[in-house]
Amino acid sequence: MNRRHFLHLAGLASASFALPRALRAQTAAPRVVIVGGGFAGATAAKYLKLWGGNIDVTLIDRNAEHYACILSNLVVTGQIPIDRIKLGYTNLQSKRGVKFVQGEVFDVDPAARKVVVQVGSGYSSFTYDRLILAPGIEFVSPAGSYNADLTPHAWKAGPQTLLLKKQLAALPSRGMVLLSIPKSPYRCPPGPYERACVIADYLKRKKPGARITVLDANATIQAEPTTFGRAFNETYRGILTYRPDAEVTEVYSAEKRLITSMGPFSGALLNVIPNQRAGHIVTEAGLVNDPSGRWALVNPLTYGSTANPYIHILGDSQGTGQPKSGHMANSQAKVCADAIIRAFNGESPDPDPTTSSACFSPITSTKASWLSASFQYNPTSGAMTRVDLGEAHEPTSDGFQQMYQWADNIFADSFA
Amino acid sequence: MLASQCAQCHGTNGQAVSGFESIRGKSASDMFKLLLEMKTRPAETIMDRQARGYTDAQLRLIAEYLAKLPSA
Repeated sequence: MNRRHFLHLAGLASASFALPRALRAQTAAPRVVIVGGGFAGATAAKYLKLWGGNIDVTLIDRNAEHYACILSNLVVTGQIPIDRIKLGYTNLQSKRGVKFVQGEVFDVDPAARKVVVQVGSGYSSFTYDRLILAPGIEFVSPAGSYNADLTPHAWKAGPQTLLLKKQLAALPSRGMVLLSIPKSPYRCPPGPYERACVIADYLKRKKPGARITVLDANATIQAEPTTFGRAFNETYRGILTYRPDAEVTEVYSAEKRLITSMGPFSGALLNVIPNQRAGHIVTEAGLVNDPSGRWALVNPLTYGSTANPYIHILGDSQGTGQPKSGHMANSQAKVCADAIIRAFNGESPDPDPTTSSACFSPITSTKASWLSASFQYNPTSGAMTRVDLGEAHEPTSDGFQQMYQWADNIFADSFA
Repeated sequence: MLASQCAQCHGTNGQAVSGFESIRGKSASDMFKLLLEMKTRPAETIMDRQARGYTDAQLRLIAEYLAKLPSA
């Protein structure tokens, strides 16, 4: 419990707190509150209702809709409109019976099992039997004078995506783009390399003489090394320069320059993707407890926090070592929903859960590759172990069509 | 729950909204045979890789579960 929040709340009218208590008395349905309406939160909400029946599910997000990071690199290059990745919560409400609340979470009180949410100008309180936190990532701001409104990350889709699109369209011919890749683990391992490819493809088609330099904080390409290695060395030879071990240490957004472990760089467009950690609310609730001090440890049978079994943490914020992706978030959410339903029925969680990530990445404006990773629970180590990993032999135009079909299906499986 | 891990591409309860084949209501033995073939043949497609992520027993459970759902 945050003292500042508590003191602030003590001064508010108590009327808004009376309502949930009254509702609580009328129903015996167990209550699950979910904070964060991305792929993890939306899927958990849907499957709790689909499999659990009489469970009171409230999904809270600060925004009225979610912009998927999936396909968002194609919004940056102008190939698809942003509405293509806009996902709302109306289907979850009308088809699944999920309650959606647009508001900013003000406080989590684990002792009282209560979440206080700022809705409009007032405050509402939601008590829970189980709380799911799925806030996604938070950025670790680089030193210097970094400003995402000047040098967009576009690593949370929406206005940032449109800002990067605008800057790319305005790039002068012969201009230099700098794209920095954060230290692993970060959201969507293939994503930055995919972005490098589609930007290089865009430059090739629309900005003669322009180039892109990829500054990777990691020693090697973090996903699909064969596909991206070939794209960098062959497809985009002369346009794209890949620099491994180039960790960004300082960013000066207004001056469009940055400093890395491999020296200083400047460009006409800076797309800095900063290092990442668990969403702010997970830190505030005191649940960040992995050795790196950035992620929340969970039991992979339930996604319950190792610090508080009534709070589950899904998607990018959890620290099981599984890749941080929309597909993986959807996958984990099903394991978590099943475990919560079993717990409400007095049963143990499934001892043998599987998760997977499968995704398609555009490599050019007409061809896409794919990546597949599969995980099984290892009862000896208590961890999810990767049992298979593979990538497409080469990007294809069939793959490009399958990419849209995959997106449509995962959007629907999570949000409809 | 196992079979729900197919739904990201093949749709909730095995009914795809676009593109990929709906996978519900097929013969359990045919489906199991196909999944085993994908798992053991040289990996070409994304499903060849995905099938490698499951034990044979898990693949059988998935095939049996999907077969019980009414066909799309």
